[in-house]
Amino acid sequence: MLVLVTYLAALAVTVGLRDDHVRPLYDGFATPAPYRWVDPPAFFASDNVTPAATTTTIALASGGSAAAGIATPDGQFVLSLARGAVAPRGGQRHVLVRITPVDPNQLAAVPAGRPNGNAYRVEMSYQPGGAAVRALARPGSLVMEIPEIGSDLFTSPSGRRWSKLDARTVPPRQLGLATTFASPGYYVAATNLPELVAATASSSDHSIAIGIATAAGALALLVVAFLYARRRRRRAI
Amino acid sequence: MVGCGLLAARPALVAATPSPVLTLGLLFAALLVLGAFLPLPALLPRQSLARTRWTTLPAVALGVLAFGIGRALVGGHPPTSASAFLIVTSTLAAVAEEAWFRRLWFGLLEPAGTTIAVVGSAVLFAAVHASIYGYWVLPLDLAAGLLLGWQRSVTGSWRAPVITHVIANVLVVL
Repeated sequence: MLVLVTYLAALAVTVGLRDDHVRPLYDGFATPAPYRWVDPPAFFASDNVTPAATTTTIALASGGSAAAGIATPDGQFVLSLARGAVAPRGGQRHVLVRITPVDPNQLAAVPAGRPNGNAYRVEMSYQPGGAAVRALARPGSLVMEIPEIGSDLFTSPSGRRWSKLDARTVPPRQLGLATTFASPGYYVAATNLPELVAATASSSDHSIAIGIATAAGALALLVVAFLYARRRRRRAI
Repeated sequence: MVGCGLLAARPALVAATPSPVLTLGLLFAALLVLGAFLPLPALLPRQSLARTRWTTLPAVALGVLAFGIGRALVGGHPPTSASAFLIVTSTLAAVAEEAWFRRLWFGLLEPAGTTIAVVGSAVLFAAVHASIYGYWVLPLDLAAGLLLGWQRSVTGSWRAPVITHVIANVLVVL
């Protein structure tokens, strides 16, 4: 039971320190997937996978829409909607939500810096009537992955005039922005960094150093355990 | 040692090879084979007989309960959508890591005492994840490693941590 409590205590502390982006076990096979661009920079073009749109329906009842999480297939744009996020409307049974990655260069220029990755268009409509949902009755949350460090996030109903949102970066990689999602429309991140250049090897070098340190630590652990075990054997004789 | 170093240096491996999935697959397959089949030092009789009070099922139940509670408490969205490929690869990773840490490393350290084996294998387990997820995961993965190591010590087998680790990895993407 002590190990269970220890684990849950570690989880609670980690969640407290790292907000809501914690998994029960940090483990797995794959390293983070490369960013998927609608219009990739030239040196990413050969390996780029075009991001796909997603469409889903949310049930609508007298209390409003059901709770829902909607993400693009690559997880680069994620919406979380609480129950009642979309107000009820007479005769309407569902809310159709569509998220489409868009080339930001096809939209108005961002007020500061340059676009940081794709823009996304979020469309919501009542079904079966088809009337557009203009704003949410209860704001949800939005997490948007970005390819470069940056903290600016803008929204626009039409993609022609941008309004800045109060966004925060998502740890640990800082390559994500989280904000309140209050209305459908266009969303685009921006950065003040210079234009992308070829990637450096600093991240790889860092992990090589950790790898060497871990291997050295493992060796030290083994030596200590061997010496300790030998002493125990001598005592046992 | 080399296996732990390679696990910790996964980002560099991925960056250096044209096919990251194949590279990681081969790494985990190698760790699985080595971890599962390399011979271990014989234990003192007192230690080998001390681990009979628990069976695998309650140990697995407690481990799954811990990770299940953790998943429920954290809530939110998974970092990526679940797919058969993701579940297969994360299962391979879980089994390989358990063979490596809870069979091989636990077995190598166990002659020095069960506590050293549990803590030592947990420390290594947490350390190899720091390069991928950041240093702040050390406490959480250390606690997870302690839980999995405890399962190994009370059941006398690496079967319970394997089952728990596989389920925990699936919970991450659900």
